[in-house]
Amino acid sequence: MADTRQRTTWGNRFRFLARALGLLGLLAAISGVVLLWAQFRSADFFTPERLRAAVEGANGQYVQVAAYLAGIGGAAVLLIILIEMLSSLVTGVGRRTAAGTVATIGAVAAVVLLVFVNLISFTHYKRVDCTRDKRFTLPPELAAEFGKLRASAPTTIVVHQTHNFGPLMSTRDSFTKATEAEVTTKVRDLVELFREFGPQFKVVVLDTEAFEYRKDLEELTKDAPELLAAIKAAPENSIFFHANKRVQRLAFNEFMQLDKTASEEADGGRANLVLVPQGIDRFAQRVLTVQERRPKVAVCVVHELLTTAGDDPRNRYTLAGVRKSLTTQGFDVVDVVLKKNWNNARSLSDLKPAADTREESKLERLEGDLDDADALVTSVRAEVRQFEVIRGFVDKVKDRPWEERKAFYQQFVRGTLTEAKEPELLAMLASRLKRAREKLEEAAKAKQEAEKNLAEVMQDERALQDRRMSNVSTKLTKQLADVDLLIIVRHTTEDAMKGPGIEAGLHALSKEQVKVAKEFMKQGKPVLACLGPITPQVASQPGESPEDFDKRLVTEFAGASDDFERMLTERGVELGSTVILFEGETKAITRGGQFGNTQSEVPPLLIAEPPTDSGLQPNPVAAAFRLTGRTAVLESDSDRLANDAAAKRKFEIRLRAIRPVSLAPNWQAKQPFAAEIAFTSADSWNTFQPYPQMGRTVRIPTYTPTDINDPKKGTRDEERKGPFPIAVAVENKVPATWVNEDYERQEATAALLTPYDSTFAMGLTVGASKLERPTQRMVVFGNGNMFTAPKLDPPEEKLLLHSVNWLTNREDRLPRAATEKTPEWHYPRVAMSDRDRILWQGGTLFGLPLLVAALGLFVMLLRRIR
Amino acid sequence: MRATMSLIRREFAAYFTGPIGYVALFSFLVLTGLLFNLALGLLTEKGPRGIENPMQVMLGGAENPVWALVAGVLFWGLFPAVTGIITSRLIAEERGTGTLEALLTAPIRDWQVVIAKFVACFGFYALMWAATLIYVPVLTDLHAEWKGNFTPFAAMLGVGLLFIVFAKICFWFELNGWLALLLGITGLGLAIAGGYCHYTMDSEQVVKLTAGIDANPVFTSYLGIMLAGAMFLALGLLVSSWVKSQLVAWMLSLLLGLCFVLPAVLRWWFEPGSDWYAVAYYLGVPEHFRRDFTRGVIDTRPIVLYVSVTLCCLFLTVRSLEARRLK
Repeated sequence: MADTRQRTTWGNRFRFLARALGLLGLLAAISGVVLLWAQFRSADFFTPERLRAAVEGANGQYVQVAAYLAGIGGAAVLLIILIEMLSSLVTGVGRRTAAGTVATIGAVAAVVLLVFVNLISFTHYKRVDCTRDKRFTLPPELAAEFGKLRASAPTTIVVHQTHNFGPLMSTRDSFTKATEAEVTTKVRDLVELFREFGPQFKVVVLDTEAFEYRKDLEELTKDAPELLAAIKAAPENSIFFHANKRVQRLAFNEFMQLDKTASEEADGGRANLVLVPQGIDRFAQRVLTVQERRPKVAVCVVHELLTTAGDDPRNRYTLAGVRKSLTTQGFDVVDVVLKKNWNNARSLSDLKPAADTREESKLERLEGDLDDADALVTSVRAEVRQFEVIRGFVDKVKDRPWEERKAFYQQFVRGTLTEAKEPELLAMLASRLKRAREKLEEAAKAKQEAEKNLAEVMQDERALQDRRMSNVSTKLTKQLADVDLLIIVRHTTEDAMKGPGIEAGLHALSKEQVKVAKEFMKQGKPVLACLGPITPQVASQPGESPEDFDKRLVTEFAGASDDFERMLTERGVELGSTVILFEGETKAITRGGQFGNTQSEVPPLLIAEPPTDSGLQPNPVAAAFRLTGRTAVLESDSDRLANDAAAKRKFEIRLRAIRPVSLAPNWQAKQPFAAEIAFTSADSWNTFQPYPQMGRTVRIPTYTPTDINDPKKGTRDEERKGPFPIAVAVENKVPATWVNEDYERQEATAALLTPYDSTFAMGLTVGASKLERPTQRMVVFGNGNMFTAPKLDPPEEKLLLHSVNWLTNREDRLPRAATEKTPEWHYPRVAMSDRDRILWQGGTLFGLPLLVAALGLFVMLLRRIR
Repeated sequence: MRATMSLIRREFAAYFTGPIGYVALFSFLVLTGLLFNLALGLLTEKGPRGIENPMQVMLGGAENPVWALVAGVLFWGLFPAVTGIITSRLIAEERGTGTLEALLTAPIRDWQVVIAKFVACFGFYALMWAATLIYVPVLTDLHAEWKGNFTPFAAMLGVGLLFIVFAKICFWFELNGWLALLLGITGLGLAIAGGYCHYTMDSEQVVKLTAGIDANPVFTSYLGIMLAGAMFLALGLLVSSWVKSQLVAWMLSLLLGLCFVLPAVLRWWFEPGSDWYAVAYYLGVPEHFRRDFTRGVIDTRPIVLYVSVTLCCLFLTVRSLEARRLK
């Protein structure tokens, strides 16, 4: 039976039709949008222009159909909504449904209000960080700095995940894996905080293992080649900050550092993940300083072979590893070659001081090569000519009698000649002529090659221009004008058991070069010096007294040391003249191992511990190195046990032939931290005769302590057992004599007057303290080849980087230890015995639900009784 | 007020007189017990594994390890179902059994009916979560030590707790409803203020509590879960007012609840920082917990969403009942 309350009127039919149409339209619109989304996968497509083009078939039939569906469906929906609204309006004004309409309007108003409130909330919100240590809050001063950054100069922050923590954690294990996951999370959290600052920060996360990584990278860097270059050069997981064509990089490790030692020892040996936060300010600093100039480092050496350019693996003197490491850390590196005339030099005195760029030095070498090739061609050509003349004569005399021919041959052949040997002689002459012609051809080719190489280098206008500047002092001053750090490397003895190596005198600087270096330091600019031993090969002669030997030694040393070393001495740096050897080294010689395939093992350097009783602060470079050592995961434990070779990759530095370096006590008192960076182990000893003699007389270096009556006793040159300091970091004011020329004269006068009246000397000291003198930093290593390699090993690289960062006042890049303010991070743990844990597990998983179930059953049973 | 209180009492007691409350509570405790065990495992783990925010595991916000992520998906899949179970019977059952007309003709306003039913189901929901407070000592590595130092703030805390007990007594013994409400609100305020001041301003406490793990994320998580629960319950109540069948009401409330859960899944598709991600975050309740509440952050956006949707749904439920009266 039909429901009489519902009459089928034309109005009802129309309403049904309209609503059915609206529903169909909605379905069509949804289908169209889904089809379009499937094609373009971007919300950007849904613009009127693009949709119009799609309807017109600009994107193919599929898109056209989808656009029609979306368009017509949407239009139908809008039409029906309009009809419904009009209908509601008409019905609503009737008295009968007025109450219902009011209710409907109220409901609609509530929904509209809900949407409105949420729209406001969506754009105007506040986040309150309730965590105990305010983990999700930027320090107010940093927030204020970021607030000042202009939206017109946006900074792009790229979080680049390569799933690699660099050479320090070259082997992935459970610790590195967990570190990566946690640090990535923390970086992303921080990036979220930056997003809150608005459109001036664009944050992009790139993962090399993501499917569309290459596409995303290309899109990001299509107008930023410098960013692409930086990303490609980065050896590890990094965060890049890019603004106005400049890029800064921050490795994940520099943001949070794994303390593997603490991780392994944590929770009573149960292990945990311990990370040392390096401070949000470090991250923020990169953003704020993204447009700062890259610091420039000049590496001064005496020969092109020793420069940082080129990574020919055959060049064992190259400092290419230094360039690689420094460039990756955001430094610009330039080479300065301090000697020239290598092509013509026959002795040290023939070398001339220079301040050449590597290009100039190369130019000079190539010119020398060309001269050599030219000379060779000339000499070979003369030889060919000579043989041709002989052949001409031979041709002339070949029809003459044998005696006549013999007389001719005797002019250039010794011994007895017979007619039977004549063909042999002629063949030999022809062969030598042929060989000479071949040699000429080769020499000509070599000359052509040399000419070509020279022509290529001559294209570099800068090298030619620089060359025109002949004054070394002016040229070096110009070279160092915009340099922030000077590195002086003196590669001398590599292994004392193999001899003295490169002669120390080769590295000696001229007076004008030293003066420029001094001027550089007087500006407060830092210097890193890697000074190898200068001990010459002087053996005591039979019957020679120790005094005579010492006199001879002093004469030999005179040429090895130079004004640069004396300048360091004026800053309190004590450079020993001996060479440090280790016990195993000489034993290996006596066993014959040293000259065999295996080299004796030397103990690793001991990095300075924080001073305990002197009240001095820890050495910043040593402290940083020690902290880094706690991170290193160079090989897994199992590998270490299984493979002895892997054990060599521990985070240690092993050096041979080192020179003692220390800071004078009165200078140490002027700086707040301990100067020594590293020491040799206790089983080391120093000597003036470190080189073995394996000639007619065999002499193996042996430990002979300095005699108690020897004047050297108690001095830095005393021969004794280790440990020896071999590297120092110095920070103090440059001497008063450097800034006031009169001061030196006055000092000498004061020294003379002191026995009678010390007032003048005291006044001079007070005056010196009031002189405005810049504070300058220096790091001096007693080894010249520790950074010599095409690619530095992680320990050497870190020592170099920590030294350079400290020297250039980039302390924010040195690893920091956990402090009370920034404590170490670790996974939270609950100390609980196994029994308690099982009770908690059982109680919560079964006990509590079963209790509720039992209660429920009890209630049910109770209700049944009632 | 008395009628409202009676209705609240009746609705609340109804959960414990039938099986539905026990089934819901049992299932809920099994689920949270499972999540707690996962968190406990991570808190007592060996080696470089663990969880920084244990509440993330409890409320389905952890992404590592994978099984915690799976448990999170399970939690948020079941959450609207559990709230649906709680609310599905509230009005739909009355409509189905025909008692709604009687209720609507009783001397009680529609909004009082809705408020009473909402307070009752919210009370049950709060009770369910109150049972999980047993996990808190482990989740915060809480240690308590009796010190016996009574201070004015400690007294304030004690008085507040006493007022809450009196309010309960008033409620259960059907004394003056306004008095119960006044006592309850005053007691709650005093207890919170006294407790906070006692543990932040007093140098010595009655009971010294030390938490090895930051306890603030626990507070923010419970705040979030209460507000989010209120939203899901209000949605369920609205749906329950539309239909007669409890099953249909449950299914509809599950469907509507999933509208606030599924957007969180979309975050995998959008680049963080994009506008689409912001929309997905705004509507995705699990995302609010993963990013904010379980990590100790309170964001006004989800709070506004929960409160506004709750109020709107309650208003619409009242309108729905009114519309029925007008028919």
